[in-house]
Amino acid sequence: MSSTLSKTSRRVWVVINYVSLIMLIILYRLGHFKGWSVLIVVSLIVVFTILQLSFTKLYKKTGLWKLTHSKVNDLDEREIQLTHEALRYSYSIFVINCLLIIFISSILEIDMIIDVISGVTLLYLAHTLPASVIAWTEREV
Amino acid sequence: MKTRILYNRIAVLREERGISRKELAEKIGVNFQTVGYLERCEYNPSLDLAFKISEYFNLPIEFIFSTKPMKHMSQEILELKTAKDR
Repeated sequence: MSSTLSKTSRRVWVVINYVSLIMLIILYRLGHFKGWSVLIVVSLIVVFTILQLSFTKLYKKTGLWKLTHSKVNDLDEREIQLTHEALRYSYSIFVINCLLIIFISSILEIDMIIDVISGVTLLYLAHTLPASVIAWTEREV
Repeated sequence: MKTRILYNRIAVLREERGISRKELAEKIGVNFQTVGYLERCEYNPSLDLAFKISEYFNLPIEFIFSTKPMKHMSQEILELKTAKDR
């Protein structure tokens, strides 16, 4: 059964979700380059738990994941319109995000290697962005 | 393209018939939240959906939807009665 969250709560969960995602990447990179200390490993587990919790609370329990991953035939006309609009915004945000990564990498002269964590993060971002746009903008979900 | 607000009497008709948003949603084939959006005039239905609603309530489409704010039904009945009496 899907639960409802207020617009403010949804926005807070969106911020928590993406902040924990960024933290996850930073911690992974720290561990990768500076060595896996206990503090990094514990922090990584805590951040991953927060990410999982926010994902369940924001996307799964509200039905947003289902809404943005359903076939067009399973949605009504308002939902189709809503998901199309969300996908349009998500596409722009995703492209800007990718361009920023390329731009920052070239400025800092970092060898840009798409490793597992980068690939998974980009995939996660691509799949959650439409739901996040709806969670951020819609009055009722 | 900026669209006009389409006013409607869905909430009044639904209350009058004593059905929930969920029941109406099932009858017209939409999500129950869409009924809420329609009732608050936050979403303009397609012509197909407007006809489904009109067929469900068995009322002319122009009685349910209007581009101008809806008059109260009691006022409308009174006006019709006055016109008939003349």
